[in-house]
Amino acid sequence: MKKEDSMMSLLLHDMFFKIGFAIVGFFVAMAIISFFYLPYNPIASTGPLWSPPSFSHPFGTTASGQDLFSQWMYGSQPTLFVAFFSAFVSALFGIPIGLLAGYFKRADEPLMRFADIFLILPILPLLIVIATFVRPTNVSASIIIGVLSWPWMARTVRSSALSIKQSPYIEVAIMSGTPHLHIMKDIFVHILPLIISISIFSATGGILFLAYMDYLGVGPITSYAWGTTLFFAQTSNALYVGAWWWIVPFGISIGILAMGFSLIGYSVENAYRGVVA
Amino acid sequence: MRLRDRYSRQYIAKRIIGTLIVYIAAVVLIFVIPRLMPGNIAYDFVSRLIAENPHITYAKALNEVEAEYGLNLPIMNQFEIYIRNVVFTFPPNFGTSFEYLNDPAINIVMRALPFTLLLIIVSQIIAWGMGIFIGVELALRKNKRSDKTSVPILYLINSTPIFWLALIMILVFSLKLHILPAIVPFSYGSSITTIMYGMTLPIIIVVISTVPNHTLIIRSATIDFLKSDFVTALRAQGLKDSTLRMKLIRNSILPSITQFFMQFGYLIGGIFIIESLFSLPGMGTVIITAALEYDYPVIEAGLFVTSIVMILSNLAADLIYPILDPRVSYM
Repeated sequence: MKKEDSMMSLLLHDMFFKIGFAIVGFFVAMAIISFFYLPYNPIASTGPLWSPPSFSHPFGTTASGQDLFSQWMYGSQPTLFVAFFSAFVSALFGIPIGLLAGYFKRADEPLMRFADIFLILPILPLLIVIATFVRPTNVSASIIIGVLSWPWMARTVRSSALSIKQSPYIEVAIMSGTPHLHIMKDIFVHILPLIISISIFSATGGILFLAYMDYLGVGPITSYAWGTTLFFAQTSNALYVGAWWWIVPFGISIGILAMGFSLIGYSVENAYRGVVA
Repeated sequence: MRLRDRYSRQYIAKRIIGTLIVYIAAVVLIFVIPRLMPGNIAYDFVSRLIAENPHITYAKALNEVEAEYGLNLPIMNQFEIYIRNVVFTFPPNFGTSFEYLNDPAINIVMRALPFTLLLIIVSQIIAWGMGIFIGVELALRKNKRSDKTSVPILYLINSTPIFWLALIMILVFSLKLHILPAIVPFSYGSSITTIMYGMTLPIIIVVISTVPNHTLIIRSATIDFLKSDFVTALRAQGLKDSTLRMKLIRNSILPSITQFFMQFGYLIGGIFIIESLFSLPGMGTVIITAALEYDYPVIEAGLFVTSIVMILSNLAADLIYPILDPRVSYM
């Protein structure tokens, strides 16, 4: 059986993969639906103030009468966008640097020292400081998150590239004078499942970073991601009024969506190790 | 082999040089970031000064503040002054806070540091201990029902934002049950019992949200380890279950330490948010308040001290490794 086929069949029999895929699929579907249909305008005042969940407002309303169910549906768009785009940016930096460091012995030390700078620096405080000065948009927030989190990707890519470089077929390729770029492409294809798995985990990180930024009020606030709703709940003292419906669904959605991503990443990694090892 | 022989001079030199490079990068970055930001640092400060002393004219105040903080100098001279004040002065001098006049920024940050360290150390010792036991248990039960249900739950807690967890805990313990305070009732110099009482809820929250991470790392490390010949040999010897478990725990400590320090930056971010949520007078509250009020000296001092803590703990982790694992030697 081919390697890809056996991986796919391993994945399709994995309970975790199914659960994760269902969760992510649900939220992606919701984001797509919210482009065409929302029960109410999520920002306009469309109901009584501080209303608990009811038939007309399934998630209740905010202090100014905004419908929380619509905000919840709408908030899936920026959350998913930042998740995917920040993972893309961190892959864009992490994969080439990791491959170079793993493949060329001479480039290893300087590149990894460079990655260490980003690993050791306090990312989130830095992010907060940068974001207070430059109010980010969804795109720039994802770029900042991606640029500050690529070392994770680079480290894993490097260590797997290092171990694959030991295998005989790569040695044969080097000795037969195959161009370096070609061999690096081969290594890349070989560890692609692992890269996909780490990218999914960094999407999880992106969701959480965005939530942290939004909650502190320094994120892309006009895009109404779930964290932003929590920020407005906190500034309106929802906690002390007892408006639990304003807080509970949004945090749990962030957790469930990020869990869905993590489960997919976990099962892809397991399938890769199961096939290779 | 004696402990001293396990470190070669070359290795220690390499580590220390690496640490110095990161330190220099941090110092430069802390200088560059505020200066890349739009706007003049002086404007905000001057408008605050004029609000308090209406008799000063704007232009005069601006000139004086720019001269006082050296903002009218060329950028290279500013950098030179900054390096002289930060790298070659002890304690590093970041100037006085814009918000609390005449209070050196570094003092504000250093007063806050013990609270943050207390929160991190106590919560991580508890979380790590719990993570080791749960992780080893789960690894021994791999593919059984208890393991299959725990893993998604662990991922769920791991990926729930820590501030949301805190909001829910405040709702339950402070507002419904009235057991623990929602805002920390102490400041610098409070008695130890007050501090412990106020710290209980933050510590519980940090523990809950970091246990899954430790557990997952230790679980996967133990699963790898269970496949090794060493464990088969142990089992073949007919060792008691508890003895085997102790050996597993000892072996799972190492990978978890490496992982812990790799994720330290992420952890510190979460802890900062928890501090600011509880108004706990730690580094997080100081940095976040300063960032929202454009208090540049305190931001710089806060980032500097945070970087120092992280750099030193990473160096310590690297150097401690051979002590914990006799097989490792750095030649």
